[in-house]
Amino acid sequence: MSIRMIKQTATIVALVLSCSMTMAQTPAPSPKKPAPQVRVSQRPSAPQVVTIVHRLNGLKMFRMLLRSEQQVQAVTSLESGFNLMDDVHTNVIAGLAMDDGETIAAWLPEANLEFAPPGFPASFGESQFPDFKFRLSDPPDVSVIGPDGKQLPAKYVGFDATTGLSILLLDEKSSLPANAVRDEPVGVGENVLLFGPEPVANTHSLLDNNLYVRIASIEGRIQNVLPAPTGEVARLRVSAPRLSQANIGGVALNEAGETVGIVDGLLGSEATVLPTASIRRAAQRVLKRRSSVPRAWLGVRGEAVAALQLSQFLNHGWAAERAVTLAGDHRGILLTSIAPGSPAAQAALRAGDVILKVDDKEIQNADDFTWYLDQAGAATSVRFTVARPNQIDVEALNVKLSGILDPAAGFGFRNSFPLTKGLSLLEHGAETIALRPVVASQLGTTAGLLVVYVEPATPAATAGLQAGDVIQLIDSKPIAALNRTTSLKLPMTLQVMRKKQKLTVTLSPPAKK
Amino acid sequence: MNTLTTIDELAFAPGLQQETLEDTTSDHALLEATRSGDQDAFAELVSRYRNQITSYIYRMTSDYDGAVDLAQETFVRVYRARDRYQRSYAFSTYIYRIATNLAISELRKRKRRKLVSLTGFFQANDGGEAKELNPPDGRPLQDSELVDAERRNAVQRAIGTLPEKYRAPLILRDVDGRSYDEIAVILETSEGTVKSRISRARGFLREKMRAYL
Amino acid sequence: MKDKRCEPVRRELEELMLNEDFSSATGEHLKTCSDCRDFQRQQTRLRQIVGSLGTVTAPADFDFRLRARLAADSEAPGFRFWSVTVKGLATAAVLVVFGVGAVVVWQRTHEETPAVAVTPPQVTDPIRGHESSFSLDNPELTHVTTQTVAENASSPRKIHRSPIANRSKRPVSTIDFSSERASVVSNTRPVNNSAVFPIETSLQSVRVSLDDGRGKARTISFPTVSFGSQRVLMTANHFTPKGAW
Repeated sequence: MSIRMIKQTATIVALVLSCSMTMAQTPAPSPKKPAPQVRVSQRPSAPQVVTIVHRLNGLKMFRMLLRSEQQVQAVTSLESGFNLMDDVHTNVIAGLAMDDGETIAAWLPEANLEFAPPGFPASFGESQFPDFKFRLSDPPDVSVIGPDGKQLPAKYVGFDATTGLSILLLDEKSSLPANAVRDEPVGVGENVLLFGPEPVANTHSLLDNNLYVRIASIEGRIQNVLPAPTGEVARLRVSAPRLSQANIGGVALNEAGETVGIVDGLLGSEATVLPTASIRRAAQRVLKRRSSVPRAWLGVRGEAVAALQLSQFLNHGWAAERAVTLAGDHRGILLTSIAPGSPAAQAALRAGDVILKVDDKEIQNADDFTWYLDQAGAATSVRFTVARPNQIDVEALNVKLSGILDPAAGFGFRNSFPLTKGLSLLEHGAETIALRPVVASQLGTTAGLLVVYVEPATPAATAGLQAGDVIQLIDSKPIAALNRTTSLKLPMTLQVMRKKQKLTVTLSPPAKK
Repeated sequence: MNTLTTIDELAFAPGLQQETLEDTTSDHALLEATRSGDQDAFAELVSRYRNQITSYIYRMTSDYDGAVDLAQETFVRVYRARDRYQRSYAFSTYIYRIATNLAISELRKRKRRKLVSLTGFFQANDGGEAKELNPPDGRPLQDSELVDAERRNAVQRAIGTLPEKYRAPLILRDVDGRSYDEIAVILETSEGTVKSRISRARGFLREKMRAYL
Repeated sequence: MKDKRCEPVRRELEELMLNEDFSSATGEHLKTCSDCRDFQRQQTRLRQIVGSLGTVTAPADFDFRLRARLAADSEAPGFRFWSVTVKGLATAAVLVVFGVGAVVVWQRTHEETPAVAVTPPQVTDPIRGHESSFSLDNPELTHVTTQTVAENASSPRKIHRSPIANRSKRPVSTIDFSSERASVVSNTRPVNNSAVFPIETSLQSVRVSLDDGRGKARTISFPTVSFGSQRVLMTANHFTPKGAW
């Protein structure tokens, strides 16, 4: 043992002794904190609630930046010691162990960082279904921790775009007692508890690098049961006094300990809860496909007629009397924009059209429309009954819906598409962010474009481009020399730095079918 | 669950404002213990003061992220100087003095930056505004709350326009409710100066907040 | 109508706390002087608004970011001991502290730690690579999941390369805090027999400065941890934009 070790050991022992002496002297740290002891007569138990830890590395955080509302073009500085592949952020959220003992369903808010960015051409047409497997470019770093604190090895199976749930499978069937799932309809006024992980403040947190977590619950009450047009329960609304964003993803249990649903959003002072039937269906979809399941996508923006002012109709070319009739019926969705190349565009739907029915079912509001499209599913055909401004009669239109994994991707977060302007390789499958020289040298390279995501089955992927690569030259021109108006056409040769090695990657146009 | 804060969420839980209950003997004892190597004690000190200090610096600079950074710097300095710390005044006074100096340096730095670069770091205003309007739980505000939040927003903005030397006394007095002598020790000046600066500060604010008064 | 008597009155009003009563002389003056009444009203109102500015809270990762700073701080030599090299020792020290406190009950983890030692814990110094034994005559300590301590120490944090495979095998030591020692200002009910478990999080939060392509710079810092759907950035973080299909 070296002198240094002896010294350190001695210091530790001294420290420990002084710690214990300090503890003997000073009163327990809590007394002056304003927390009264919560006397709880019966503590609830929730064996089906697990903790999910979703870790994101530097690359994924850059994706988050690029996909956020921030206008981001380049990284100008980074804290020293930042490493692209290291974990930068951890999201801790609840998960539901389903009654088969091996499936876990969880609402991971950052799951979308694991797949395609917004602005990406949603090109999943019929030829790619039903066999198309949405491969995640790299497996998400997701851990499952059981209610007893034990880590349960699990694999991420896929993302269900309809519900937003992520489905995982435990490697081994767990001994988690399968708590009954409540399948009968829940009633308004029923009390529920929303369970999820919370941090435990630890006065010793300076002594180690861990965050201490436990499962806890908040009380709530069912305010509303929202029916789907088909009669089943679409959503529950639960009011809970101390609701916060931290509760999203929480598992809702009734007083008997039966699962009622998963919290998937906050609306006003209420939580919206996905009912167990929806969770089951989502799990079935994903497990059947063994990969992520897209959501039906049409490619339109619109608003329910019932919510519109007359002027909005007139703006889209409707004559006043017809507009009044339409508005009076309170039916349908007025389309306000159509995504280029989308199923809607291909079916020749136009802004100003009003979709009145889906497969002969009337649409009263936006939620109905969503429900019917979801029911139809991705890559299926539906028949719309459409009223058009310049036609007297309504028209029946068959539309082949396509699929989308991240619904925001079809439109981006802003009300316009295409999303990204400027130098972008997005259309070829690579999401990039520019690195200024200072940052680049911190990351061991020279200035260029850092690739943060590569979509499978695109020219970028086929050429072998990888997330983490730094592109320095495009067609032998340095990145800095290219300006925004340079159009990037294939074929393209990229000079790339990967793990301190120079490589050449050639992007070729996709083979025509 | 706990109302945690992230970058753009605040918990205005009234309970938190009571954190200054610890009597100074106890804080001193913790710092003494830290001096002898007890990092447990230092951790306790940090947990007692981190919200207050972050909040104070935020009120001074209107920049939350920057305030967190400077709050940590405050604790780093306390730690570094633990051997030199004298018991002559209350620990809270001591730590607030460090925090005040850091906040004022930051404000001066910003002033110089503004003169040099044409591009603003819009975090400074953006970060501040959004905070007052976004309630901790992300839910949309009720009308009355909206008005309150708007008002708080406006006053925070107004404070941001005060010359530096008026901000600290105003915040320490009207936000934190400290006594004049304590403020005088924190700011290393006389009580008379403190009083007159507060008066001037309020005068400025009265003008800016005319619409709300 | 401002006269000489207004000055001392206003000074008094300025200096009093809002909940304090003013003197009878001031009270008399206010009855007659409308300017001073206005002043008092506005002053009170303003101070109420300023007073309504609440305390903002520090972010959840404040403590461990601070810790990282202290560990990296060359002028804070004390903290060098608590750097990653002796994390294992630190953990052991924590265990002893708890042992002395005799408040907490340790639970063993199961299959992952087959060799729960009855001998003093072996702690590996990850950077140096050699072992130092650290024996204490504390009976509690001998039942500690030493394997955990060793494994934790052996995943060096400085070299953040944590492949997924490794992490899934790392045992998680469990502490039962049902004695409320670590409880928080909480409106929640902890679950029956709720285990408190540690989650390893990244050491340092990251600050990034960005350019929006139009000459404006912005600094964003990522917190190391978020719960539920707490917003990490100011973004819309829902999956379905409203009114889009």
